[in-house]
Amino acid sequence: MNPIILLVEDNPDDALLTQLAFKKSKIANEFVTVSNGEAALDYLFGTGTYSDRDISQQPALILLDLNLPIITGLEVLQKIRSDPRTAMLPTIILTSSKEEQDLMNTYKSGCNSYIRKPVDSEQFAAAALQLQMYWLVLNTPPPIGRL
Amino acid sequence: MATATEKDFPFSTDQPPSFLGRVESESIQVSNTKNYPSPPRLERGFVWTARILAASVALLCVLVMTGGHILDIPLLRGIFQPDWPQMRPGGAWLLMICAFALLMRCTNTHSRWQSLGQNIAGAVALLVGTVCLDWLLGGWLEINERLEFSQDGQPSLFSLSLRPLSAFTIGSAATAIWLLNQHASDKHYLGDGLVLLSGSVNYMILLGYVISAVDIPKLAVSEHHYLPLYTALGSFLLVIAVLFSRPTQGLMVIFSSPLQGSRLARQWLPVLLFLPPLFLILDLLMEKAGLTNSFTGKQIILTLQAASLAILAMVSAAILNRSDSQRRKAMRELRSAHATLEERVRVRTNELDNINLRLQNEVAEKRSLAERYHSLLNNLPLSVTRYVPHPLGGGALVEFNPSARALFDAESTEELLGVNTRDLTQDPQEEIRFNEALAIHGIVRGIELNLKTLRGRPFIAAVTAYMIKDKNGMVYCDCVLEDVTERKAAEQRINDLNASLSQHSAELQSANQELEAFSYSVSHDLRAPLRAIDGFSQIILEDHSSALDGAGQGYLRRVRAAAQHMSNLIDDLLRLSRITGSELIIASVDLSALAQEIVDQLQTAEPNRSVRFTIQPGLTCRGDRSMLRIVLSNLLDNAWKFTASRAPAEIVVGSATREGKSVFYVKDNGVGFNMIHADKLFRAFQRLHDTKEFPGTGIGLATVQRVIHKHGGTVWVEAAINEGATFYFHLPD
Repeated sequence: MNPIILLVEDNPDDALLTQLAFKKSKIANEFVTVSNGEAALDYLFGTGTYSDRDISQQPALILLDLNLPIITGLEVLQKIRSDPRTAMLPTIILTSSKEEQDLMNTYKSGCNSYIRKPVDSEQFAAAALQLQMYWLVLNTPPPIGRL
Repeated sequence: MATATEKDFPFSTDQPPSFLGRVESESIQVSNTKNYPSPPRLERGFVWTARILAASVALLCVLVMTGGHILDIPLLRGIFQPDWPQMRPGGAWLLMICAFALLMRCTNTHSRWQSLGQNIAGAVALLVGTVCLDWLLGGWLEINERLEFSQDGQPSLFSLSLRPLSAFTIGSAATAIWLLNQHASDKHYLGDGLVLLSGSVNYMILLGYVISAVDIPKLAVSEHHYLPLYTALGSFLLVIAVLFSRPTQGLMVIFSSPLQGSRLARQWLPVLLFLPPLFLILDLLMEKAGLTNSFTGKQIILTLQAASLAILAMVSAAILNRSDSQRRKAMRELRSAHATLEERVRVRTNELDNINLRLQNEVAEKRSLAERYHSLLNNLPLSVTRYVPHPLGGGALVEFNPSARALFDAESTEELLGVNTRDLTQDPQEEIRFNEALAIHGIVRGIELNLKTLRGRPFIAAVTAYMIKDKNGMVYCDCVLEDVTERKAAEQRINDLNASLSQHSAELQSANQELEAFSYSVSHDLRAPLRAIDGFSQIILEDHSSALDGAGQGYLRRVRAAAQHMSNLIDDLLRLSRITGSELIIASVDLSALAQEIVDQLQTAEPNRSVRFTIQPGLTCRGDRSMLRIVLSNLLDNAWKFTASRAPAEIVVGSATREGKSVFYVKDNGVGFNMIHADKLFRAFQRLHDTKEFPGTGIGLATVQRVIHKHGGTVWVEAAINEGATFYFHLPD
């Protein structure tokens, strides 16, 4: 099975760019994009539109934007971390925000990493490659225990 | 007996001028005895003697009447020897009446006895006077015969006929008694004269009887005895009694004063009266004894008399000398005492003058001091009052200065004087509390009270009061009042302003926060499409370059560059706005270390470039570290950028002194610029160079200026084309 990368991003351009960037690295993965926090939680917990998904298959990496409609990225993160099924999933905040407060809050809520999206696409591609290399190859994913 | 001479007692009339006046030299004058009235005891003694003498005379007359005429004892008629004349009844009666009259007149009070006595004496005098007149007229009126009152030719007991001389002596006595006046001081000369005259006559007659008594036959002739013995004796004693009865008038004054002379007179006169008769008797006896003849006898008695007179004179002189010397001594002592006194008075006056001068100076000083304080108090624009607190509350105003008068709207001092302080306070409870506090602590400072003036206008006063007790135990409260109504109103206004100010600043703060949030979200939202522009352009270039020709690819590259530029602009703008909104965190900043950090970063970013950096060590200032980092970063960035064409590129960071103030500078030897455009340099987006040659947003220096200005400092630049630029900035401490 290819590792799943879950991208939670509401801006379609940014979503596409991210996807393309991650595709460039040639590391095999299954790229899932949801455009809001609710969908992300549905996907992770197998509710709503994703109620028929096999939630034993969790993403190896969650890329989470902070500026999301309805539910903020921080809330999504907190929800992820509060549920034992998803608490250990590597979650990377991928945002354009430089706000200290966001940094503080997300790290306090337990994100694994905080990456600022560069405008320059080349830089972004390089960052995506680094991310993939680290989290999908180098890093040992957490054991997804039986529910 | 020593006699003092004039030499021993120089009596100089040249006396120095004195404060007390001349010491009068006393001369002995008879009239001076007026200043020494006779002591009452002496006077009484004289008067009693007069009474006794008068009584004796009356008794003698009674004896003569009863024993001599009724019982017919010759001795009692004054017949000691056969040829002596007898005292007639008339003489006895009249003399007796006169004696009684004198007795009446000798009473002390001004009673009817006095006037009765006077009248009786006057009647007797009148009667006797007519007898004398008749005698002078040769018996024409036959008064004496009429006064015989004889019955059947027999001599009557009640006859009042008199011998001429008897009439004279008795008449003199009666007149003298009649003339006796207790108060008048001029008539006594007449009386004195009469007394002296008749007294002398009587004395002479009595001397004759003395001679007769010695019984020298050849002198025993009845014609020598013109008066009966008892008549002479009686009238003699009576006139003496008359003299004695008024010892303070006329002749007797000499005898009755307490002075030395009077004493002498009193002592010696009787002696003088009786000594000659004694000598006479002695002489007659010696003659009778045959020791001497009449011629020698006269010699002897005259010598004896002279001797006794001399002795008398000497004794008197001695006594007088003693008293005179005492007097002179007293005068000398008085004079020396006077001189001493004068000297003392002079010295004392000098002292007093000095003291007076000093006191005057003190008074003048005190007065000027009082005036100074008075004017100080009166001119003070502060109200000063003093009131006496009542134990039951309130107090009476006893003192205040004109400022207080004006403060309480009083039109005059009288209007405010005594006003109860309770009437000047709006809230009596406040007044009670104030007085309590004052009584407990003794002093209160700056207490604010709500008072009101005499016209009822309310005001707020700041009162400082002090309670004192003076040496009589009176308690006073001294206060200083200041009308602080305006000040309080101003304070209130300030408080209101402060409140509105803090409200405004709160509003501003929230506005700033909103702005910050806004600019943050704006920059955030602006960046997203930029990413799309840049990203997709890149993807097209990379993956779809075959569909584009060279020009198209070039255009796409421009698109990417523009997007990149816009991103930088957004970053800079965001940073710029954040600087305005944020607050400085002031601390001591090591600029040298900061510069070194930035320099290291620059060098690391472009390791190929070789730039000679000179950073002055120990550069410190006070400011916000992160903001100052932005400043140095911008300035060094610029320096780095604009020295790119130079080899060697030199950048200096240091400090200097401009106009007495210490400034920091970043100096480069880059391309520089024309100073004419220097004022545009710090405006946002203003660039003086080509973007192609020297990329940049143009916000950097605007940011630098904003940071420096936020610190309260100044920033400026000195540059020249191709000679580099030096950016100076000054930060206040």
